[in-house]
Amino acid sequence: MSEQAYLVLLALAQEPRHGYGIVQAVKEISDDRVRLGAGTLYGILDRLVQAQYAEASGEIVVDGRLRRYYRLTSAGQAVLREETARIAGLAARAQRLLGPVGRPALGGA
Amino acid sequence: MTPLERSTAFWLRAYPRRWRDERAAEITAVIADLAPEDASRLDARTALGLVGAGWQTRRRDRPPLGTYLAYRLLSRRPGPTYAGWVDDDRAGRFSAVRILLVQLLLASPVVAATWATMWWLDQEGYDIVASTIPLLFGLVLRLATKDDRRKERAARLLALQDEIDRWNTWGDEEPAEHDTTRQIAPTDHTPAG
Repeated sequence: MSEQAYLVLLALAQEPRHGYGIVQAVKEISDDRVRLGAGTLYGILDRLVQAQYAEASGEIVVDGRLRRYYRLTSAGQAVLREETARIAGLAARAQRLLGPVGRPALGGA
Repeated sequence: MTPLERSTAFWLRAYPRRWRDERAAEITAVIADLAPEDASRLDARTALGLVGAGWQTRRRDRPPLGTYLAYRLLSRRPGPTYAGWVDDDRAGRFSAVRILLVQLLLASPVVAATWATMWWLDQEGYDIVASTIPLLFGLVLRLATKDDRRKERAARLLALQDEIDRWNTWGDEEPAEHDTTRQIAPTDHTPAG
């Protein structure tokens, strides 16, 4: 799963969101690092819906603009937990390799 | 339609037709939400993003090459998975051009090989012989698709018959006298003189 897809799943884990809401949430979760374009966003959403990790959950029209909401399915929640555990494991191993923070690892002394 | 919406519609053409039918309104709204207040056209990053994602969407739902060629040349339906793709292909504005291009592309090596062989053998009248090769190629194709074309014609006739039946029952429900009375009715009420 790409980092962007993971971030979209995270954004949907909090609550059902529409396209623009997802872009905003991803920006916030990634600490302003990932700004999804419309093309990328809908590529990811199509794939998540196809894999049945997410589904459309109704639409409303605000100021003449159609807003379709998406929500996470239970399969999506499961895969999100799995992926989070994988990333946490990787980060823990990385920490061990790097040694204590702030001090460079000593080499073979 | 605002200028920004027009610009979005232009770039959305990178997506398959049925995808646009279903999602254009939604993605146009997101783009309008993301764009600066006074934007009248898409910025380069968004436009390129749409083209890339659009082509990826097309690639994802296109049948594999073998299935595509069987469909294009032998009129074999590629199965229910690609039913939407087939509908798009038939409704597309350049459908006839696509068919012609694929056939030319496939026929050109046959023609070129024939010409090359004839030239190499240095035979008299090779152009006449060579020009019959593509014709033979086309003939073989038509013979191979004979059954499919017959089936398609039969299906079209059935559909037409259904259509005629529908109009017939309509006619039965509304007898001819009914119409005439309605036409006469207003004149009855007009005061004489």
